Amino acid sequence: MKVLIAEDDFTSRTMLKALLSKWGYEVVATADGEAALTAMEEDEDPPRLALLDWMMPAMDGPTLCRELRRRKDRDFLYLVLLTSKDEEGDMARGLEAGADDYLFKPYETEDLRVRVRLGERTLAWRDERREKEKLRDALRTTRSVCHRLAQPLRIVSGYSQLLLMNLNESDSMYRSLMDIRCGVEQMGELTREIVEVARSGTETSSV
Amino acid sequence: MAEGREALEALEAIPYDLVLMDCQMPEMDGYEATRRIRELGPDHPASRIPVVAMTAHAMKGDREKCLEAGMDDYLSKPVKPARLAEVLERWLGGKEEKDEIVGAGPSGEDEKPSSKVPKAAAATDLGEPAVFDRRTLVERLMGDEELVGEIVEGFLQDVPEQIRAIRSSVEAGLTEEAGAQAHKIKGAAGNVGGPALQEVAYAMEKAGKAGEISLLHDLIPELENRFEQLRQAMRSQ
Repeated sequence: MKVLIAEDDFTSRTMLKALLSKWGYEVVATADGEAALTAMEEDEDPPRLALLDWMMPAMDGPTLCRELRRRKDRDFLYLVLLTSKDEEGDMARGLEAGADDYLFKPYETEDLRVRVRLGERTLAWRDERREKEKLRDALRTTRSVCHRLAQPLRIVSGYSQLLLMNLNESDSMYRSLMDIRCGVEQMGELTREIVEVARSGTETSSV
Repeated sequence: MAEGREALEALEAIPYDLVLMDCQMPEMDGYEATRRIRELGPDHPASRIPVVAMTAHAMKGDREKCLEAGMDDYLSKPVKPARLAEVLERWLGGKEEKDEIVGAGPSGEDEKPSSKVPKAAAATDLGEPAVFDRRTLVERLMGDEELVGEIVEGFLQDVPEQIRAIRSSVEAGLTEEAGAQAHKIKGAAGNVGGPALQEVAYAMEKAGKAGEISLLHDLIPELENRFEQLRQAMRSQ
């Protein structure tokens, strides 16, 4: 998993990078907001998890949060703000800017690891939810198409029945109409089966 | 024990090795309880027991209050397991020489509340913040000594430049910039385990925010001084 770091202090950045690499993350380290945005933009497979320092020159953490949110889908990014204790009062502002979580500096290594893992889990959970939603939408469309199919099928079936009633069994048309009616009924049976499958699928995939 | 008086009664009845004393307790607080313990008299074995204060606000005045009351060491709440282990080892481990913290305070002529205070505690918790808390840095880097070396090298190369930047900001009267630069040093110092440098950087950060140019100016020598102390402490270990 790729992680973006935006931290202007060299020592803090080096430490973050070292720890995350140690835990097996691929790290994209940047020293300011502008560089972070560029790294995000130019990467074909951009990081989805980001650790952003609160206080940076030119663009602070909350502004960077907002910029990232503007550029990417809400569920795509998991943003963690890194902040000093005395900025605690500003936390609401950070969360409003779109951060998912925050960590006070200097953080305990274990806290960092837990928070990053939490971010990873949250992203996986969001993806899973999104997949389920997609599946549910597809199943819903399937059911609706089947319902719409039932109407013309009924018409064909009804008229063929009507015509059969006015025909003699020996009539050359009789067999052909009989085949049409059987075929239409088979189609009706199949759409009912599809609806059944779609319904049970929707139930299991409902969130 | 839930309360000071209970602790006193227990101590008089049973020999313990150490007391972790919460400072804020109803009826009899930790300071008063400690004073009473010390007043048990030289004949009573409990009168010399190490008392470690636990308090929520780690202010300078609190340290003095603890000292005055006769406490030996100090833990700020919330108590971190690593710090607690450190304190227990210091007082119960019996090895007085095991000390990875280099104190910044004057050593030697400190007045000790108890005659059997091991060296390690004298200058660290009750006095000035430590210059270099190597143990914290090592812990933070999960015991990776190679990484410790790298981080320390990077830090020692980077910070002098940052101090120069602060100096030129202050000279140009740019308080806000100086404050922001001090904030960076504070973060770096906090990360590498340099509480003394962190403290003065924090003071400068606040001064910068408040636009106090003369205070910023006055603190620069202290910033340089504490960085130099930290550099030496890092080099010597």
